[in-house]
Amino acid sequence: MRNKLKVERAILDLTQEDLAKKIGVSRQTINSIEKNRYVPSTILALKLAKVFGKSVNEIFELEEGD
Amino acid sequence: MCKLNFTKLIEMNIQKILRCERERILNMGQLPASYKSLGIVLSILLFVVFFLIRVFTEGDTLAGDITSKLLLMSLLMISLSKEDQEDERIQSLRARSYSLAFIFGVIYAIFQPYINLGVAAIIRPEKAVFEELPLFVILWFMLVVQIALFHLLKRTA
Repeated sequence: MRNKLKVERAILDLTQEDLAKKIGVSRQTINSIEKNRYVPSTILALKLAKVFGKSVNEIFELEEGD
Repeated sequence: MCKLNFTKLIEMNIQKILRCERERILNMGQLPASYKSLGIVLSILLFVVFFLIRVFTEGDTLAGDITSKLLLMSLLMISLSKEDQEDERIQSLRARSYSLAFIFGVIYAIFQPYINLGVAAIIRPEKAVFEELPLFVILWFMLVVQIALFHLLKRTA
C-alpha cells in the first residue's frame, strides 16, 4: 500500500513528532508508515486523514498485488 | 414507548459493558513501563545467583529450583511490561514476537535433545544418553527469544 503521508505532512509543515503527538502514536510509527513498513489500522488511517482534512483514499492507495 | 426506551437503554448498557470487558481482556497481563527496568535488574541478579548455585552445588537443589522460577518470573516481567509509548504498531510487533517465539520454542524443544545427543556422542560417547529438555530451559528459551525478537522488530520494522 502506497501513501502520501510525507507529502501531506510537508504541506502542513509538520514534523513526524508533531504528527505523532496529534494522533497519539510514537514518532517511529509515523516513520514506519511513511516507509511502507507498517500498515496502519482503520482507526489510525482515519485519524491521519482527519489531521490532513482529506479522505483516507486520498492519502492511502492500494498497490498491485495488495 | 417508555418500556421500549428502557429496553433499548439496557441493551446499550450491555453492549457498553461487553465492549469494556473486551478491552479489559485485551489489555490483561500488561504491566506498567517501569516494571521493565526492575525485571532487567532482577533477571541479571537471579542469573548470577542461578549460575553460582549450579557451580557450587551438585544436582537439583531447592535454592536452584526457586531461583530458576524467579528468573522466569523476572523475564516474564520484562516481556509483559509496556513501552513508554504503547501504540498499535508496538502491540502488533509484540504479538508477532510472541507467535515467533512460540514457533521457535516448539522447534527448539523437538530438535535440541537430538543435537545435544549428537554433540555428546562426539565428545563423550560413553556418557551419551537421550534426555528431554527440562521445562525451565524451554520456557527460558521462549521468553529470551520473545524479548530479543520484540526489540529487534522494534528497531527494524
